[in-house]
Amino acid sequence: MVAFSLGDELQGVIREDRAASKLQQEVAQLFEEAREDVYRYVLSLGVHPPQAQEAAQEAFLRLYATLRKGEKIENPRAYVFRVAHNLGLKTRAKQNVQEAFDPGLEQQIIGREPSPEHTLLEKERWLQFHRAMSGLSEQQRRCLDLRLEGLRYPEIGAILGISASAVGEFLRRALVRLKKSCD
Amino acid sequence: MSNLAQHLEEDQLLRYADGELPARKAREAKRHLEACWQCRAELKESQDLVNECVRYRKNVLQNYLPSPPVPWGDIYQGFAKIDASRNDVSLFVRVARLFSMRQIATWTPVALATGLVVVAFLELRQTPSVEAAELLRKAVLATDSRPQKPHHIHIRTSKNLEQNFQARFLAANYSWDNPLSAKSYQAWRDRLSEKHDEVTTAEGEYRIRTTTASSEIKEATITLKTPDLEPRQERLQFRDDEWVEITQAPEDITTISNAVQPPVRIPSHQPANFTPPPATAGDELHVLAALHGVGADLGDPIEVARNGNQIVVSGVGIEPQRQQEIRSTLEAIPNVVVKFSEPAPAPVQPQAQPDGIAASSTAPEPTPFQTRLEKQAGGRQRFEQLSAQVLDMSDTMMSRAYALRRLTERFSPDVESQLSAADRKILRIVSREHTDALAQQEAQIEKLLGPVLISMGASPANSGVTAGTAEDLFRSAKRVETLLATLLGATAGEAPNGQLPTQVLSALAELRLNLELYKRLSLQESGGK
Repeated sequence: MVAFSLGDELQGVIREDRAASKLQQEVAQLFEEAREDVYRYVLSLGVHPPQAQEAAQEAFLRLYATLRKGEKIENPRAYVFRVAHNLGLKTRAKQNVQEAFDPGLEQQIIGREPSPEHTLLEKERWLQFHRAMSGLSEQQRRCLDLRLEGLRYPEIGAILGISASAVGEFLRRALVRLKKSCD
Repeated sequence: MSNLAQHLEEDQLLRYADGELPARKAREAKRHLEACWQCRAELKESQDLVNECVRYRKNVLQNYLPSPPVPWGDIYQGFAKIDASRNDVSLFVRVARLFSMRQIATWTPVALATGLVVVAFLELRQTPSVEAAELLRKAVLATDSRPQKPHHIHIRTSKNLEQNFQARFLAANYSWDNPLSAKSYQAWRDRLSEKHDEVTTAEGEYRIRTTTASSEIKEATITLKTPDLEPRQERLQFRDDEWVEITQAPEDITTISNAVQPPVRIPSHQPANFTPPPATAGDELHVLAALHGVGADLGDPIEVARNGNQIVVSGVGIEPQRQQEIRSTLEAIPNVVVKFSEPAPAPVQPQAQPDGIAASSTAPEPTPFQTRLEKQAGGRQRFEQLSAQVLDMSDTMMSRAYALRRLTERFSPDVESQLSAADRKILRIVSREHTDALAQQEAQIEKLLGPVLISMGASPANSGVTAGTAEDLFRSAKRVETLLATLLGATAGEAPNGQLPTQVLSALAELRLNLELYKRLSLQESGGK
């Protein structure tokens, strides 16, 4: 009898170990696939690159810690963006003595030498579109950025603390504004 | 009915394209778009802008934003720290602890048993990285790379399953086209919303065992030969404990004549070659069950009809991807003809607003009732969120109610009595899935709305006498839907009154009662099985 009960316990330990290892593989795979996207999103919040990279990596670890506790997460990618968003804003608040990070995209687009693949016309087009994007309100821009990352309206709403219908409205206004600016 | 004069607004177009409209509104929008070039052009324009955003992300953001300043850290180290902070200890220490808790007197049998378990454990640990999904993927690739040659399979079933196991496969969404194959196993497994896999190795073979609560097959095991990963054996156990065992048969079929059940022989790369009988209600049920398996009985414009010895499945305006999904679901069923067509162009009507979408209407002023409702819900934003959620649930609920009604109309008691016992079981399974989903939606709506309505003074009135028939069930679901649409302002022109909260709660209570009665009646009719 003792032998059987010990066998059961041992099997339980092994099962738990295998479950943890499977979880690690899943989160590690998501990390490989999505870390650059999350990092760029945190940069867009005005966080400087070293802290943005740190926040992005931390978001995946929090995902692992939460799943490890047995909590169910419907969309792990959306969860990572939510955590990264919050970490990014906290970092921004801490670095308020510094200026928000500005990647100087406009100068970079202007400075790009035209090549057979990147014509002058294309450069002008991207410059115009970039200026239109810069003209969006903060909420419009965030909704658009998160939608571009493949998140659904309720997921974006949960990150930004607004309703799904408000997300739809911000996106609509963003597109109207982009259209006007590009026409 | 789609009204061409009422163009879709910009936000509706965007939400439609993003798949964020509730199912019914999405269908209405789709119908309108099919008929209205103007809205379609608007949609295309929006889509072009979205494409431009995607290109901007790729060409500008991904190119010009600075790369991470340092190489990414080893995430596994972070995992280890988290595990350590959870007071987890290593597997070795945990195993050692197990032993230290035992009395010395029991040491010898413990050691023996442990030895056995550790040997088994080491055996298991030899394939820690061989996950079920990966193994199946490799097995599918291996099968695809082998020259296709017909081979035979040998099928054994539990006694009660002898007659109709093919239908059970369809109801469980398991391909009957080639049942003993990694591809079929993989396709079934990939569709499970919840599952648990175990991969073990034994001499010359891998064994994958999948258990699930989200399929009619509760446990499946497939054995793959090493090293070529060719399926050798498969066993599927259904929720009612009936089972099917499929084994690769030797080329010389006569060597397997001593099986417990009479062996069935079919070429494994072709659909099962049963003599096609004239189409019966049972055949029709198999098609409906297969469609049910992919959710095609929940609002897709699909008709199923018997025509001679064929079952004709026709659909209008179905997306190409969905058409493909439906075709592949039905291709294993003999004598099924699938016909898809595009809708006839709608007659062009005079456009009420030449500028189309630009004429966006301003939102009407909320009535005092709506203001009160919003306040009780926790503010306008919260109300909008709640409203969208509830209307969506109401939509899902109605799609179930319609599906259940269609099923009961088609399989009246007379028709049902002509079905075999196994087919009656399939009918009950499909019907039960609809009622369970309906009950779930009702409960969720009540949970979300109940507190708000009660805070507005609502109290559910006793519902009238009901027989709990499928028609009663449908009628009460319809009433809930209508009242919810009025309450949440989804129906234009109907002003909600002070009695509405009570009416909604009462309608929900009546629906709940009807569901309970219907389930009880169904259980009695099935003899409590």
